[in-house]
Amino acid sequence: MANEAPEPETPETVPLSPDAARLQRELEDARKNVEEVLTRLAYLQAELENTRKRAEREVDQAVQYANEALVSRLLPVLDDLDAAVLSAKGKEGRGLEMIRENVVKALKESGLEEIPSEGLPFDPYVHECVQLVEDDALPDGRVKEVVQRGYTFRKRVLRPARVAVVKHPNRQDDNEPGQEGEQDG
Amino acid sequence: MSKTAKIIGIDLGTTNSEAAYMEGGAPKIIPSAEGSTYGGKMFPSVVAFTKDGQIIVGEPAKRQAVLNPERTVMQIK
Repeated sequence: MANEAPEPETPETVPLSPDAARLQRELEDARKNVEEVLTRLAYLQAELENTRKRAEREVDQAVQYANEALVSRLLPVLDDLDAAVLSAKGKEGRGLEMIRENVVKALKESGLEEIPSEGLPFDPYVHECVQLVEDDALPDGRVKEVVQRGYTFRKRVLRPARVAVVKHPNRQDDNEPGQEGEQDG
Repeated sequence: MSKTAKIIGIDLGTTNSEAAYMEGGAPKIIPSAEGSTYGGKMFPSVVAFTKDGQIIVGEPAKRQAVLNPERTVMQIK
């Protein structure tokens, strides 16, 4: 076979002059720096993008729930009207009821809804249990009475309904298996 | 570019808890989906175990405490 060609000397084998070595180190450092800066830039870009998206979302929400605080402040007025309707009788009561209906209608148009409660199973996501009552006609965990009406504003709970819930102290609604057999005897 | 890990800080208080993360160099509290304490973004440090096996936390857990005191944990610290 043909003679092997003499291998060209690789540049690595040539000892670098001190200047070249320094320059190479500097180049490596600079490359590392650039890499770090680029990584940091990518992070910042991602963060900026996230922040921008969140800001957009927050603006949308702010617009959607703009009246929430105002409506929230009107709830005690509605409560007072409820109480007034309950205590007033006859013509006066009817008049108050009509005023209440009108206020509720106006608020409904901007997104207020009353949370249905009475007779329904207690739901901690929309109800707040403030009292326990006994009622033989209703099973445990049912809302017997609304103490203070609850409302949602555009599907979000503005104020949970404060309710009295049926619970019988002696009624065992969850029959554990083997209850009888495990009695000490 | 892979997603960067986010760090959140959690303050588990006796009465209320909150979680926050850093955004643009400043901490930001994460609002609770179930609703917050009045006038803040904290939520009550309450955990409840319902009879049907659900775990409820925060505001809803607090709301059912009267009904379900044996299975509601509050003021834990």
